[in-house]
Order: sequence, then structure tokens, then C-alpha cells
Amino acid sequence: MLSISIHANNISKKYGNRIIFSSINFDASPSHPCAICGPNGSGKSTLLEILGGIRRPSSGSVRYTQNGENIENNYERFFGFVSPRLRFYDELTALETIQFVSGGADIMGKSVHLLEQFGLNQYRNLQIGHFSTGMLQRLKIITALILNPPVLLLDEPTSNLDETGKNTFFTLMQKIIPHKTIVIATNDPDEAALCSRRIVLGA
Amino acid sequence: MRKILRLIRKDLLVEFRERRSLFIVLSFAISTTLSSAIASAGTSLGAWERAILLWIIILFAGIIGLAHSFTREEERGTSLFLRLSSPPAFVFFSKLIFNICFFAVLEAVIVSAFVFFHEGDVPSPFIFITIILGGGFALSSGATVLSAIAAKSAMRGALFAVISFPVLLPVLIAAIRATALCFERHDISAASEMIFFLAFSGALISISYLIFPHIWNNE
Repeated sequence: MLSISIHANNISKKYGNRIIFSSINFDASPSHPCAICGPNGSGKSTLLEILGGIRRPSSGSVRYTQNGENIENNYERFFGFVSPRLRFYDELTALETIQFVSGGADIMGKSVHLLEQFGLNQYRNLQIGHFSTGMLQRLKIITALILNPPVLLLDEPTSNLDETGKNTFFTLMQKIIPHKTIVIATNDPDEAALCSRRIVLGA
Repeated sequence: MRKILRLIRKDLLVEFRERRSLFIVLSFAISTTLSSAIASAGTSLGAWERAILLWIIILFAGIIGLAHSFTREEERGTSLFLRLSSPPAFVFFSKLIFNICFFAVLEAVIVSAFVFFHEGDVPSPFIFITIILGGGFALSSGATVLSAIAAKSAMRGALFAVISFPVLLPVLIAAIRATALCFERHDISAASEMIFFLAFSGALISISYLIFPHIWNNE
């Protein structure tokens, strides 16, 4: 398993003249999950997307390192991503979506295991357009985990989940926290409690 | 190549399960071909009139489908998922190949209907088919990257129509000219337009490949 750390260096983001946040510095590494907290509109999701290279910061930089060595661009291959902004294809089934994410890797056994774990195995051949928001959230978590990425960027990962879904997620997280670099954007106290560090935006 | 095929398979599944856009494009193609045949019934159209009519139908029916390829990703919010799942070059080539195949199928439907309803003879079927496919290849090559540019704008459909016209006009003119020459039995002159189609497609695909990551990764 790769051990990857994320280093945020003096990150600022503004839209027009509106400064969303500025001078954000922190490091995230395996076994030290980090929570990004703050009120609505404080830029939690934006900061998480900047960490994943999905958005560009107005200033500052993000570095991914492996054993202290810088990793070049294309960070997508290193992280699993859960976000309300992530939308799947309604016409594909749950299994087809997981296979699409896997990029042809042999993940059938792991897919079935995760689908069973999150209570979706019986719906694996159902088109996603027929899924509820809670089922979609479970599927997002599965797609983030399927390739066993060394980094997880999670934006409100338990939103729309019922108690069973939340329990499954928290149990799984307790197991993988020591092995992965995890950053969670959240206002949920239970999600934040998973993390050993907090970055508070808009404070 | 396997990763590109995976993306094409995804597009095929989405397209055929959604059906709506496929139905719109095919119904437009058939209805315009039939309407033009009924409107011109009893009139003997010349080679140039037939070529112009044929390519206008192909262009407008095809553009509806081609504009759709990236616009749908943005409108339905799936572009982020696609972006995280595959590198930009794979996305570009999968959409390009899908569009070229889609255009070829559409051309087969339109040309069959056109030849049937307009009862025109085609002196050199092989050269005629080569011109139709070559023109379609050039139009798809241009329209793919234009669709990606337009999809990032708020006025997607309108922008695509505006920017595609000047870029695709030379192809349209060359295709009409080649088809008319083919109808007039000037096969050698008609076939020479293929060089233009290939050069145009080659240049546009190369430029598109270079600029696509910047378009695609734009916030």
C-alpha cells in the first residue's frame, strides 16, 4: 500500500473580490485524518477540491509526497472522492458504475464484498436512476474505496445515510484510518470525531 | 486502448438506454429527407442541388448528436465523475471515436433514405461512400472539440452553433463539391477532396488533443 501525504501551503481562494479563505497551511498523512470544518459557504468543499486538484487555488500550492519525495500532477489516481457534487450516470447499473471506476481492474470479488457491506448487493443490476439519495451515497463511498486508494477526500460522507449506513461507514473508517491519508469536509460531529486534527474555516 | 474502449462502451450504454437523443436525431434525419423528397416530387434535381440538400440534412442531423456529447456531461453533472475516472486524453479520444462512429451510422441512414426517396442514381458507389464517410469524419473531428468548448459555457447550444459554423464551413463546401462531382461522374476530381478531409481532420485532431486537457480541466 502506498503511503501518501498531502501538504497544503498557504492556500487562498477568492471568487472575484470575495475572499473565501486565505493562508491555509496544513499536512495530512496516514493515521492522522484531518477535518475541515466551518459554516456553510466557508469553502470546505472548495478546499477539499483544491486538495484533489479539481479546482485551482487563487494562490498557494498543494503537494503530494511519497516518503518525502514529491509526486507530479495527476493526483486523481491516488485518491478516492466522495462529494455531493459527484454525479453518476443514471443509465448505468451500480455494478457497471463500479466496473467503470475500476478501469478494467479485476475487482468483482471486492465489488460484491463492498456492495454486501453497504447493503446494495441486491440492487447491483439496478440502474442508478432508480436509486434513492441514501443508496447513491453508499455507492459513492464504494466507488471511492474500490481501488483501495492511499488517499480519501470525503465531503460530508454520511449525508443522506441512515443509521445502518452510518454504522457501516464508521466501522470501516476505524479500520482504514491507520493506513490512509484522509481529509473530511464536514459539520457533522461524528465525522469530525474521526479526525485527529481540525481546520476551521470562516472562524 | 482498453481504457478508451471502456469509455466508448459507457457512452454506448448511456446513449442506447436513454434513447431520447438517438430518437430525435434519427427522426430529424428521416423527416427532413422525406419532406425534401415530397417537396421536390416531379422536379428533376441537378447534381449540385442534390449534393447541397444531402449535406445540409447530414450536417444538421449530425450536429444535434455531436453537440450533445460533452454538453450532456455538463448538464447532468457527470463531468466531474468522468474527469476523476479517466485522463483527459482518453476522454477526448473516446468521444472522438464515438462521434465518428455515430456520424457514420447516421450517414448510412440518411444516405439510404435520400437515395431511396430522391431516386437518384449514384454512378460510382464506392467513391460516393468514401466521400460521405470522409466528410463525416472531418465534421466529427471538428465538432468534438467544439462541443467540449461550448459545454463549458453557460450558453452551450447557442455557442456551439456560433463557433461550429466557421470551423465546419470549409468541410461542408468541400463535401458538397465532391458529392456533386461524383454525381456528375467526375470521379477523380471528387476523390481528390479526400485529401482535404484527411488533412483537415489530422490538423484538427492534433490541435484538439493538445488543447483538450486545458478545456476539460477548466473549473
